[in-house]
Amino acid sequence: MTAAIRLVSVQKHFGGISVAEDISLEIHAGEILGLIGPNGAGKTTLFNLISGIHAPDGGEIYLGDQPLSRLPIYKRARLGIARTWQHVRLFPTLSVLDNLLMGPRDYPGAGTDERAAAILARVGMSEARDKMPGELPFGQQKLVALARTLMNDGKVLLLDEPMAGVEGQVYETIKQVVRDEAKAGRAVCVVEHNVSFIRDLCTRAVFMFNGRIEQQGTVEELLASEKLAELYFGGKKGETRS
Amino acid sequence: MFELPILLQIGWTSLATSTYYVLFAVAFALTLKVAQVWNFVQAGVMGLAFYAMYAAMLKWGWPTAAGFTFGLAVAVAAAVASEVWGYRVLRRRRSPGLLLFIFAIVVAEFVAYLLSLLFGTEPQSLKKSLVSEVHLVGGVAITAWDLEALGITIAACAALAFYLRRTRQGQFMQAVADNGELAELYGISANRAYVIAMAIAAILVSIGIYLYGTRASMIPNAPLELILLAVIATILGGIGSLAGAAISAVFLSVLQSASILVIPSQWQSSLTYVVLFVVILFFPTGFRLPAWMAAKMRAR
Amino acid sequence: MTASVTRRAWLRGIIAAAVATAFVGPAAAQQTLKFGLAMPLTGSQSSFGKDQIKATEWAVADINAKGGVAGKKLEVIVLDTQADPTIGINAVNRLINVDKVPVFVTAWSAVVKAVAPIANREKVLELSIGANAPEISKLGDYVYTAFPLADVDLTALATYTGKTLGHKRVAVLYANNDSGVEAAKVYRSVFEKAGGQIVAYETYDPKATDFTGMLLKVRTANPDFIHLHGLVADMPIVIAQMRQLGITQRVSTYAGGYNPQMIEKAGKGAEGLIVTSLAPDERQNPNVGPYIERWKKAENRIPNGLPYTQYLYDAAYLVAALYEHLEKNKLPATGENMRKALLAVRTFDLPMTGKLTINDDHTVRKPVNLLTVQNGQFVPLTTVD
Repeated sequence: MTAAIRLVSVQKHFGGISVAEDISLEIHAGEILGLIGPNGAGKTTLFNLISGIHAPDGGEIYLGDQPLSRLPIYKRARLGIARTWQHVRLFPTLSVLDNLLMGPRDYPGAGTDERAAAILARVGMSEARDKMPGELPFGQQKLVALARTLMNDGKVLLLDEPMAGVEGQVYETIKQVVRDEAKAGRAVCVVEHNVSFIRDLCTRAVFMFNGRIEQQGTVEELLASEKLAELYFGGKKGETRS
Repeated sequence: MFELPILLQIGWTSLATSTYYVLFAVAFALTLKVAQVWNFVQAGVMGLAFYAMYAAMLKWGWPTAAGFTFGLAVAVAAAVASEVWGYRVLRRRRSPGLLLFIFAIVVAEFVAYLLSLLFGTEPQSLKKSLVSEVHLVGGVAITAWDLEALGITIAACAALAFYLRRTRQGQFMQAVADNGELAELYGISANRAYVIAMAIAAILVSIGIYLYGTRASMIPNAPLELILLAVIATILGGIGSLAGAAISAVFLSVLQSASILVIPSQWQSSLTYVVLFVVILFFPTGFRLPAWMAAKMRAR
Repeated sequence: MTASVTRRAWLRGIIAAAVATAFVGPAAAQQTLKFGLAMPLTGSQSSFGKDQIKATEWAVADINAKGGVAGKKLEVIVLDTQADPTIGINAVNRLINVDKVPVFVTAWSAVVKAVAPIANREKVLELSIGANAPEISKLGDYVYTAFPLADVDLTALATYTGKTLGHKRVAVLYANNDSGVEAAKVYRSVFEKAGGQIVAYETYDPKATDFTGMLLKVRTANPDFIHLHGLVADMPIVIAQMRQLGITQRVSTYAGGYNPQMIEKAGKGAEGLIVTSLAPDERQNPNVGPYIERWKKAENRIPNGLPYTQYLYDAAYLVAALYEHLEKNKLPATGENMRKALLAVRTFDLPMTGKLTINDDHTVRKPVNLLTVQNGQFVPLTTVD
């Protein structure tokens, strides 16, 4: 079965710096892939390449069987690639509900108020529907951003540090939603530093360093690897940093 | 000189003549807000709209409605063309903002030159006679033109407000105005929003130039001067605020007319430039009360 | 073989033609009597400028058709001024230095004044025909007007308004340009000397679109009558806005307002407008009727600013008369001699405008026709000598 997202030998450099070198990986429907690595490893760049913010200098990216290289950003979003950001990006001048209603998917009933209300309920944010994002605490803004991706119920979900700055009930809600989405058949990729989250949720993981994929495999394999410990944690295996 | 009937008359007439300035200002502010361009091509669109209407109504003898529609069609076509074959190409090449600005000014100047070759430089109006019915209401002369202009302008602004706030595409335009890249990531086509913004601006501008042409006379270079007031109003009203631009346009128009009470008429046209300097130097982010004044008002 | 023969034939033909032109060219050029005409071909005044140029060109053609001047052909060299002083200076410089004309005709007060120093310095005769600023008579030895200056028709107008119509309180509105400022001063001095009162004296920017403020000042002054001085581009708008503000007093203006466009643009607001005309009409001069017919046949309309075109038609005859004097007395065609000829001949009998006498103080006087707008048409009112 074709992977939901497939990167084949993708390259990207800015000026003389190579931020993505010979990246080949697949994200399958129903799986939660963890993308780990130190800051500057190129994880967010990878997301940007998939979303279409940057065009690769080499290689190809596929959504199912469809090559994405010629498609503008908004077309990729409409085809079902949804993502969140570490620093939540919502439209500050639109209400929570309107933020959800932005962004048409190409089927009837996709952008209705009822659907948005239902999704807000799923993340427990129904009461905030008419508030401005600026009025909400950071954790709730993250829930709204997550709800937005649920509105775009396509095949791919890219989450950039969903747990950063979050705890308690919000943490649990996000965890549950991500699990449910994967179960429903979405291909989910998560960038995270939070090791327990990765252990909890991810089935596979990819370790990136300086724009290259150093290791791919199950979470346990990666976390047991010495090389990873050295590169990532700068110290012996067993020491963790969350 | 400062008696009530005079002030009322100046107030009323300047309000009526502010209508076309409001339309020009809102159009300019809209394209700046959504597409982030200082769209001086608008001056070219104004000229093309006027002379298309002039040709249709006065040279070919078409009825007013047909002539206006023709002018409107020409304006929208020109605006859309400037976006699709001009701005979009420059944007795709990631040209710096300055280049888009220079492009716009060159297009505007070229259109003015072209129009002067085709239509000559003599002043022209859209009506053979510029006199309309007058009613004296409490000593204030109110003409049919005044009422028409105000009615049309209010309707146009209300329609625009409705479009931007209540329709889906209008909200998409707000989103693109806020953050073009984010809107694209949400699945909204920014290019489409730019084209629609240009087209709407062309419509507003066509209405404005029709009003102007039925009250005063036009030469090919006039739009280059008229657009200056639109720019000032946009800056003074705060970039990104259409209502601010509209209110500033009314304010500037009234100021220009009322200035006759205190300065000799030969200095009236230079007043626009003085205001431009003042606005750029003291209110570049829009009109705001100085901090100490605002604090005092809040304390009350 | 054929190809080179053809080529040689071509070459021979070209050389022959060049030689012929070389012989014929300068000789032919020597035969024409040149004068310059610096007028607005383009710009906001071009509709008047072009018609005036056409009138002069017709006259030149008519003179040449009857044998020219002393057997030589008259030639007019036309350059554009756009009624702008800077461009006018360039045009006149070219006429003097490149085309080497000993005399040139120009109009529009701002241009006439701007090029006067050049005429005086280069000793080339400047004939102002159509401009009416009063200081034109004081611009120097080489500047003469063949058209009555503002004081002539404004005196007639002010006197008529004060004495015949009996109005004692007049408001004066004038465009803020060379012509308007001077003319307003003349009107005020004449009207006040005749015992009247100027109750409002307001200037306006001719490029503005809204005259409400200024007109309100006029309304408060409550005049019996209003005198207006601007250009055909702005006067109808001023009048229209006047009527829109409920100002119903009768309006007068100078000869520049004797133009169908005034009635067209100001509509009913123009009723009662009094204008002056400094050229004879068809009843007063038998040549004018056929002249108007000629316009209708050639251009399907009457000319813009008919009286001015009459003067510009006569301009060619005036210059022809000067050249005739030079030819008769075997004087070379220099500006100095042109000036001497003008003062020597003094009185000219011109086809479209009648007798013209050049006064020592560089002015000319003519009878003034007053007309008014009645039912959308200009009708004669009276004539003042």
